[in-house]
Amino acid sequence: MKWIDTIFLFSMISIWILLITNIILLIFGYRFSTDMIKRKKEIITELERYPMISIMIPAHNEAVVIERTLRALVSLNYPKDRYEIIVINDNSKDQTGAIIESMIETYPKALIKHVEVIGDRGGKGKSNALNLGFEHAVGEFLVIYDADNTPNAMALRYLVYEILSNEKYGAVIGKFRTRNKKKNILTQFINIETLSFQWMAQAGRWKLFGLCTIPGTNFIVRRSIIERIGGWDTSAVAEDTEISFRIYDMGYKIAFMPLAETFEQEPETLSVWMKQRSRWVNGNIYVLVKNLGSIHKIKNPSIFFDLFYYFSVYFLFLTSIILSDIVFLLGIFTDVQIQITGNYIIIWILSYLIFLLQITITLSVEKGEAHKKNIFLVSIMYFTYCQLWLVVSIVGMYQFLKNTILRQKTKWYKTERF
Amino acid sequence: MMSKCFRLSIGVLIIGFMLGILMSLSYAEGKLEKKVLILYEERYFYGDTRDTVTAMENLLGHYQTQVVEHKISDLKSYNFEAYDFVFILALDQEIESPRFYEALAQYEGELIWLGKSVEPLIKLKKYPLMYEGEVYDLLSIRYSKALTGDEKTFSIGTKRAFYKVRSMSPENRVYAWLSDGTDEFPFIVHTGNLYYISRVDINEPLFYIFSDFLNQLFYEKHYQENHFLISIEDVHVFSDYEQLKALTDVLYKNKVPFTIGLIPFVQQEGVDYITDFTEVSAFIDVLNYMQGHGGSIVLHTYVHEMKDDTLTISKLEARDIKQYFDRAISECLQNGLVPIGYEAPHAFLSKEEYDALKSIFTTAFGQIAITENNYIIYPYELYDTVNFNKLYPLNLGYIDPSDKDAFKIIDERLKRIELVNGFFAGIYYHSSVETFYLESLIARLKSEGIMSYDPLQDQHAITSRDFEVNIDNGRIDINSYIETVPKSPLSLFIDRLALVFSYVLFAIFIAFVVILTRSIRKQRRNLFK
Repeated sequence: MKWIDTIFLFSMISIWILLITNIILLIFGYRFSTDMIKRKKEIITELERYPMISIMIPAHNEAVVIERTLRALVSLNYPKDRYEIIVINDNSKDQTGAIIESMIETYPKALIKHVEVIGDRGGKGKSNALNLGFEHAVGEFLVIYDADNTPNAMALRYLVYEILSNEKYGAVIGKFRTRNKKKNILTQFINIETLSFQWMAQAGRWKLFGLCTIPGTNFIVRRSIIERIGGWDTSAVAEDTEISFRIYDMGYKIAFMPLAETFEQEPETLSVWMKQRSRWVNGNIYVLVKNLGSIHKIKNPSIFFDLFYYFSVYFLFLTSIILSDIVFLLGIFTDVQIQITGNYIIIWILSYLIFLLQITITLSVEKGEAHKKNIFLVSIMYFTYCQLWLVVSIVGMYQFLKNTILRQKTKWYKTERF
Repeated sequence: MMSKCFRLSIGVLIIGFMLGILMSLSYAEGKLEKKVLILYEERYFYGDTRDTVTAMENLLGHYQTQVVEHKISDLKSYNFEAYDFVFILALDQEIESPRFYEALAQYEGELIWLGKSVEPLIKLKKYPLMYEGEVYDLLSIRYSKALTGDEKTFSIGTKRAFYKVRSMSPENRVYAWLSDGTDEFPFIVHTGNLYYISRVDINEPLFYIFSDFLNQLFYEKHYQENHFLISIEDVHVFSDYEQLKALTDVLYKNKVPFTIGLIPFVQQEGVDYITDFTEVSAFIDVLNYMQGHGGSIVLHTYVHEMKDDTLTISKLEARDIKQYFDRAISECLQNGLVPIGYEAPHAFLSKEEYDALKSIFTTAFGQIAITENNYIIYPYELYDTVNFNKLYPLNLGYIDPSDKDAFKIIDERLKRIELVNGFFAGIYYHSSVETFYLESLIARLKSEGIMSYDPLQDQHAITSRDFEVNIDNGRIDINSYIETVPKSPLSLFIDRLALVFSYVLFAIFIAFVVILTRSIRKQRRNLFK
């Protein structure tokens, strides 16, 4: 076997390890969705109790969206005296503060706390803002929303129900949807991607391993856990992934409650999207490296799957995609050809068809999403949107290395609002 | 309601798709074949020197044409409108049915009439031509080349019959003039949709004049490039290896690609066995040397017999051709030699033999023998003819060092072949001829501004029992149908694994289709829940 054959085989096997994993996750994610349909009715019955909830919203220059978010939060179907809304206004230079104050005046019965952070105490990113907000929180449970989120009225109720149902649940995550999905083709792709990710990766992992990763918004966590771990890691760009690993390691589970829905605004331009995604990649690699370094101390065996999953995505899969692209280009432009025989074209065709079906199945779980237009978008997504992931990953990796080598401190990286 | 962006995306896709169609149509237009009908009175078949129909069909193989031939008396209807061009070849008698001439008079495509019996048509359609009957003893022909307008005059000195028409209108265009020394009249004249040619002739220079005229008729751009190819002839195991290398070095130094006319099997006089070219490793080395310095292997047909340094060929039947080439091709490939085609033998071949060769090779080099001693010398390459997929003619002859003017044949033929725009000039260069002749030949050809043809930058394919060879613009793909090297256990394992894996994926695909169907049905049931 020549070196080119070895590279080809390595990349094929690596890619297919992840693809097979995703196929398995999808099957379990789909099973979870059918289970959820059966559960829905019982959830709507009264909660056994209404614990005090502190909803925290870190905000930095969120004047464009904060008012709508607060209006949604004050309309939650939950006793008004049993939840507070803490807006951590971190060094905003726009009208965020004024809007918060006007909302406090408009909704006097709602418990809205305006935590204004000025100067050096703030300006260090979302994790730091959450820690500052936590100082003012009185709730037994903390619920986090990003400043552009508009949760459904029942969202909080579903989250509370689920976390109360099992003491082993350290946190419960809801589902997020794309509010501006119809804006352009990019937002339509993002809509499809986020739905398929949640039903495949989140629901699938939850069903199979009892694992989920906090997505940064629309989740509830026990106050006691935050107290025990000393708050959020201010060095982490992806503070949501980072805290997920720490919750697992404490022996808790993070459950998935897809009925708790929130709507958020997704990037509407490619440059904003690139910035956001590469930041996520950067953050996830940070968490992966941090945990790999102390892998011998990990108590929860389920974490190994997540570590393996992240490792295979960001290192194995990425490397293999690059290698397989190189093999492909060499085959076209030079005489360097693979010698091993096999029906690889058929395998490629089947992988494309399976991809198409996987995504469509996840869309079919959501009402009104499995229509012809979306299916058409999925068919072209493979060749367009998905290929951008390669660029995003490389940029994210570069950012991680740069931050590590230059020891750059975390600051606010927020997605531009429209 | 579709978003603006989505509509824009669909619009871009539709425009892109339409552009793609338009581009492929415009490409296809260039590739669009012209429908040609050849009508004749009497058909003479292969092996008969009177077979002008096959000669015409071969010539038309140079162009993007789809040729249909019909005996006039077998025509069931006289509807020619389906054809872009109608050729009428050398009718001995006028056709009795007036409907034939009426149909031709109504025909709006291009009509090319060669030879006699055109008078009824001239009168019917009132072409500004006057038919004056047969003439003999013509001395010369004067021709204005298509497109360039360069005028050349050749002596013809023939006693063959020509058919004389007078051009009666200044608007008629005369491409070539025949002269008997005192009077001139058209050899090729164009009036309206009629092109009248005084005679069908497969001999130079008339044949070449007609060939160049076809450039004008079909108007295809590729004919503007002229090429030459030198074929080192009679390369066999008993050749002078140093001489072969010396010739190769000359060609390589002058950056002239060439073909190697390899005779793989030779039987020496007095010996009762055939010597296989692979028996002598030094010869294989020479061939590899030649191939590595711009040479392309072209396989001779048939075993050659060698007597007093003279080679002759022994006859093989069609079934033997396949066996012969299966062996020759296998042995070439196993020794690192890649044949690109075969050399048409100097002897006459039957149709069955040509069919056998055509099934193995896409490319032939050489001449077409119509009988044992007669050839038709085509001035350019031919495609998709009865006997060839592709033929590159070796039409300039050879250098004869025994002649005082060794280049006489080549010079004469070159002068004639230059009549044709886009000609292909192939030269047999016998491997025993000294290198200084080769230097001189190359200099002559280059001084005429003719470009060398590189066989490797073309497309060729060979299909034998054991191998399939594809050459495409320098890229060589060889597929073997035999297990010359057994696959390693690892390779076999990987093969099987890939197969099993694809079955697994197919099963997953089916499972997902089922899941999706159920999910969509469930969604529809629960739509209002």
